[in-house]
Amino acid sequence: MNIKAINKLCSIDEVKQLISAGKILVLAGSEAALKKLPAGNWIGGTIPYFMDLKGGTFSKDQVFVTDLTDSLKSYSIKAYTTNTLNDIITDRFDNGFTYVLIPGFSEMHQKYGMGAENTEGLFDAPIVGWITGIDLNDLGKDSPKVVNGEDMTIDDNLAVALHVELEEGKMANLEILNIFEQADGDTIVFEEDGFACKNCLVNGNVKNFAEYLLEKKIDTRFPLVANYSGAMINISFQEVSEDNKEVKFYAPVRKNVEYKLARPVENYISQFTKIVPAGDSSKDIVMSCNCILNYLYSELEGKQTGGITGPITFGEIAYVLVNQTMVYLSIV
Amino acid sequence: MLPDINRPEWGKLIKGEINPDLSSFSLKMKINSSRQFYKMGRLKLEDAVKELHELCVKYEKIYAADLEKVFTAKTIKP
Repeated sequence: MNIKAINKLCSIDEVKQLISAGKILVLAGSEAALKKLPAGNWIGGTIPYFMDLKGGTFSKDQVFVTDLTDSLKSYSIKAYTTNTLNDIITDRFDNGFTYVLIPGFSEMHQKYGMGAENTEGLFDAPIVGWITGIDLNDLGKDSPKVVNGEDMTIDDNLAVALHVELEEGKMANLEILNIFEQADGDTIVFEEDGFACKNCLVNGNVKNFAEYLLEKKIDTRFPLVANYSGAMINISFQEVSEDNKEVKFYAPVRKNVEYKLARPVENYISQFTKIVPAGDSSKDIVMSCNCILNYLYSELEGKQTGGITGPITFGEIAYVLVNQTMVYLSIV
Repeated sequence: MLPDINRPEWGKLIKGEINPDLSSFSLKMKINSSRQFYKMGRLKLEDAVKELHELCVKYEKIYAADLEKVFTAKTIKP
């Protein structure tokens, strides 16, 4: 495989050398690891889970490096608050892409998830990125963060973006790999946008969604899937509460969009490796990320999923917020 | 060469009257977004077509195979 940008796990010392050399980087690592790094031309997000060349890896000592230095003509690094988030669209270079990191479970996460889809001009240039996370054993004790490496701001409610301008004649292409597809069966429609819901319409009939899932003994490891004019968009289940009769999701369901439950997948790795780009089709990939739920449910630690590497994340950004999806960007 | 903006297929794509089996994620997402905005009345058909055409001009290299499907009638599913 001939990946143009460096995409691999590195030691802290190796990353320090890259930063000192002025490389333009997107870094993924534990908060402790990222705090050991000097200021420089980088943005970072917390996560200790990775897909490296050796397979799924958990590490709090290493940092996953995506080096975009050789792929770009110019760049800018910016941080956004929830009040300035919409500027991310207008700050993009006309010929380029934007790599964005957003802290998991934050107001920013909610705002991007809810708002991106309705933003004018969203598809004019790729916006790719991921939702930052933490060691799952630390849930409730710590918060996912992002780092603006230019000034070493570390925050749990900012979005940080690396806007990349490409040379004339080059262009960025954002694609996803999604092994899930809509199963035959009930059509589910929600009456409001949201990361949580109580009632929905099942084949046109009002039903409490939590009760529906429990009655049908639905395996919620598999997501809801919507068909966006041929693009399969997953919404993953976070929690089904029998007591509150409420269902929570890792990305917002959309009003009036028709969802179906996903067709169950028996073997993630074999399914995934069937569709993962290989050979010539993978040579121009400069970044990728995959979902923590795929990592967990498919027990990917120590296992390889083709040659594409990247952080394992708490949500993926492929223009919009998606779940249980591998996202990758090529420069062609 | 990108088909002329006056070709009827652009409008049919926006209105959902043709649904070719496209491969490009961003093109599918753009078409979906345009369809929603058109249905909601946020975009007039002519404006939606103009936006889609402009995107296809910009990314013609990436969308070439998909555009061939759109503008080759026999490959279009009803």
